[in-house]
Amino acid sequence: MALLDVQHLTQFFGGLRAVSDFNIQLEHGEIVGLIGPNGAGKTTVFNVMTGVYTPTKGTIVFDGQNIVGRKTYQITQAGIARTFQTIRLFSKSSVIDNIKIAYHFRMSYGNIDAFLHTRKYWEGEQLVDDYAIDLLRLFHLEGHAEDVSGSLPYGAQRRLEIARALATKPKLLILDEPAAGMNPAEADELMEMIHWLREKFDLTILLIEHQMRVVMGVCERIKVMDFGETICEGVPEYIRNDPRVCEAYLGKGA
Amino acid sequence: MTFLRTHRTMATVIASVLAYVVIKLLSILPLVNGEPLLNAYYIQLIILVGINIVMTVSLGMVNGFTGQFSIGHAGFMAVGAYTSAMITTVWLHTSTANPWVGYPVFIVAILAGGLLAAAAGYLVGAPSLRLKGDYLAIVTLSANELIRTVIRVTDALGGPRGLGGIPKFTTLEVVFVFAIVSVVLMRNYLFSSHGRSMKAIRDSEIAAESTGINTTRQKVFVFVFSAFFAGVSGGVFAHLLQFIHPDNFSFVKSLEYLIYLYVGGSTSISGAIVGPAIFTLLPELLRGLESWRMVIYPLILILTMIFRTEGIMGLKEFSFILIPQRQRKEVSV
Amino acid sequence: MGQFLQQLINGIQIGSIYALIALGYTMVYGIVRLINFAHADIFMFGAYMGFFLAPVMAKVFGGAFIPTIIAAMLITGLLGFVMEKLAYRPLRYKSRLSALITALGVSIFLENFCAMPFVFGPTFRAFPDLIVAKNIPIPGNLGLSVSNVLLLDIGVSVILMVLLFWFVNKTLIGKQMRAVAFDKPTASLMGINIDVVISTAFIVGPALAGAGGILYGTTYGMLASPFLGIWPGLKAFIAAVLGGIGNIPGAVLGAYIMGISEAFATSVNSNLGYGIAFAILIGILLIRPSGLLGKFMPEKV
Repeated sequence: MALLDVQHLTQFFGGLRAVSDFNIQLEHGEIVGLIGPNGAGKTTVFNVMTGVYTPTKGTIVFDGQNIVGRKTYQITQAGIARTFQTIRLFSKSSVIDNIKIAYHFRMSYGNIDAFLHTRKYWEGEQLVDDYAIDLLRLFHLEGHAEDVSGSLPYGAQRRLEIARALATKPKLLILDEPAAGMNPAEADELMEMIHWLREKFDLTILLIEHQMRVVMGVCERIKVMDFGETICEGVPEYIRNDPRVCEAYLGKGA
Repeated sequence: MTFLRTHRTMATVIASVLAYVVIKLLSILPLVNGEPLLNAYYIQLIILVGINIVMTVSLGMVNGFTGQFSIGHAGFMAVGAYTSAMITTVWLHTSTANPWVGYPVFIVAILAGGLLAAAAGYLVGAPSLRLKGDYLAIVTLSANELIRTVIRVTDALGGPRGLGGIPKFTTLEVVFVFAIVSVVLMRNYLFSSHGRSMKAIRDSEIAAESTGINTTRQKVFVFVFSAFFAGVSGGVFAHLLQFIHPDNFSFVKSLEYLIYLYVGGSTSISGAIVGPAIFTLLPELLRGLESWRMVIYPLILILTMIFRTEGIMGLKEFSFILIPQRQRKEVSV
Repeated sequence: MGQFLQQLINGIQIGSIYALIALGYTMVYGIVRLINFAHADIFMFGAYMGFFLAPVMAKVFGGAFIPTIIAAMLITGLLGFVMEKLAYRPLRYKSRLSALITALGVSIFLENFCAMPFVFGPTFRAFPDLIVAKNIPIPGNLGLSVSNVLLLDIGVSVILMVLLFWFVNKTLIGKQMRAVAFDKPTASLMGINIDVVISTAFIVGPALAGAGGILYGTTYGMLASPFLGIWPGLKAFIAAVLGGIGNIPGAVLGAYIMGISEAFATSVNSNLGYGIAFAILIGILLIRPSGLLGKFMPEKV
């Protein structure tokens, strides 16, 4: 069974149809790209999948459960983690606290333990501290653990945002323009990292990306959207040569 | 490791006890012309500092650390003040004459006041914290005045005449214990996974939600316990003044706490301690300028906002507020 | 029936004054997303200007009302302009919260500064009669009458509101204001001078509040203290929120709802009359968070 099965997803904003009849199936371990010109509805698809909007129509089955109508935090707890188009770190918190926050819903102690700093609190804190520092090591951020996250360089902030998403221990990771603002060398590193993430964390990855080189280089399957509709779908080689894609990006006759 | 932690907490407790002993001695020993340095008026001021610290720190939990904007904190104080005063004074007729009966009743009464304030906090917070933007500000402001109106029209609570004859249970000792316990509890909460979630909500609510935090529940919980501490403060306050009036708890009173908080620094517990301490004691330093007090305070607030937006303390904490970090094993990479 | 109509008329009268104040709250909020708490004190300032200027105006012009109200509007407009320049402009690119807190500070400062003995003083003052009060009976057998003060309140408010609608909808600067309220960065890219627009909002809103202050003084015949703006200001603010903050017709609608319900509640119990505003507001916000005529703007992800 597919890890994610989205059927007939439609999203209206007032009279505007942002997404219409969108379908996607992701098998475990796939890396799939979602591309299309600005305003095609890609981010809306992400937002609907993560519970930011409730879809007008359609079903989203993730890991055997229908997640339509669930809140964002419930969807994250069910195993879908995301990053944002513009970085949204907890910028006044330290780097390690960013990771610990993502582990919060797994913490074993409750409000009373928090007020009284019981033994359970200290055990929980020890556990999360070990977990967070290990995760930071994997992303070469352990040296910045106590720095304020907003003060990190851009590339490190991007890495931290992905590390934070992984701290929720997701099954599906969705990345909204991970290469935005990166130069070619950084983008190459990112591509390597995406493959590494999949192996290391046993992930399925869905990503939106504008840098064609990244999409073509990293995705096994690509879906192209324009004006809320899916216009074609296939392996990178096929997408590259499809005239409809060219038309969507460059206009008719291009 | 465990030793260091207990050691640190012990140090804080010892320092507090020392501070208490010094103040107590200064209020007893005849140092200045056969009179103690701290007369009853100064002691009353110090007690007020304690109450205002708890009010400000609890307000800071909502406004500074969770990034919401509540501007009706005095309303919850009123709920606690009236509830506790009704219990000790009107229903049980306790007095300070027999402390063995009086104090247990007083403690139960202020806790009951806190719980009722927390319930009021839930009624106000649960619907309005779901909404973003300035709604919380508007609703808390309105709730503050609505609570005051209810007290005014309720004859059993003394209505517009106020409620008097309250026994004076609030002493220097009471306020010391009360302030230290309250601040330590809130400090502990802030330095926990829940406290980190609060700050996450403040920095980016959308990101907090997408890292699996039930932001609405967390915000409502913080708001409710903040109201609880405001309610208990109200109880302690009522048993200091011995007479309470609805106008003690108007929107204008809430504004004072906002000034204390934002001048001290809303993103630091230390700031929420420094702010009320300065402003409660400032009139003493500005003797002769008393009528200028409320002209100078807002000017300080405006200048702070323009030149030091994050308040006196900014993000810094006094070392006795911080929880010691454990040493991590160094691993060469 | 007679009692009912009388309360309705009273409600419309006080609602008119609330409307003039509420418009300033809503305009400023619409453009800079700031709850300008000091607006209530500008209203107070306008009322005191009436107190000080009326005798002078009566001497110079013969009649007092029209020159006084115009002078008060000019002065409060200037006050609003200066306030924005000194207190809010330095914070424009800092957090919205710091501007809000500054607004609280400005409000508390104005109240307490004006209460100093060498400014307006903290005590009660009788407001001069700008017009000679007269009761005009309404024909019919209900025994109703209206005072000419009431007609004046409603008349002046309606005239000023019509002028405001014309200003916002028909003049260039008014259209620019609406553009800035809708989308500040884009408006700026279209060559609209944001500074001018913000200053205009901080002149027009306070001028209306100043007019409200004069009407308030004329209606009640007294000025209690420089803290007199707090509660009418709060009611007007609530009216603006009730109607949908940022929305001009909404502010007027909210103000009349507020005034009328307050008049009825006061006839039952004066304390209830004070509190009813808050109860209505909480009730409405729970059902329609964006207010009666406001639009809900979801946050962009």
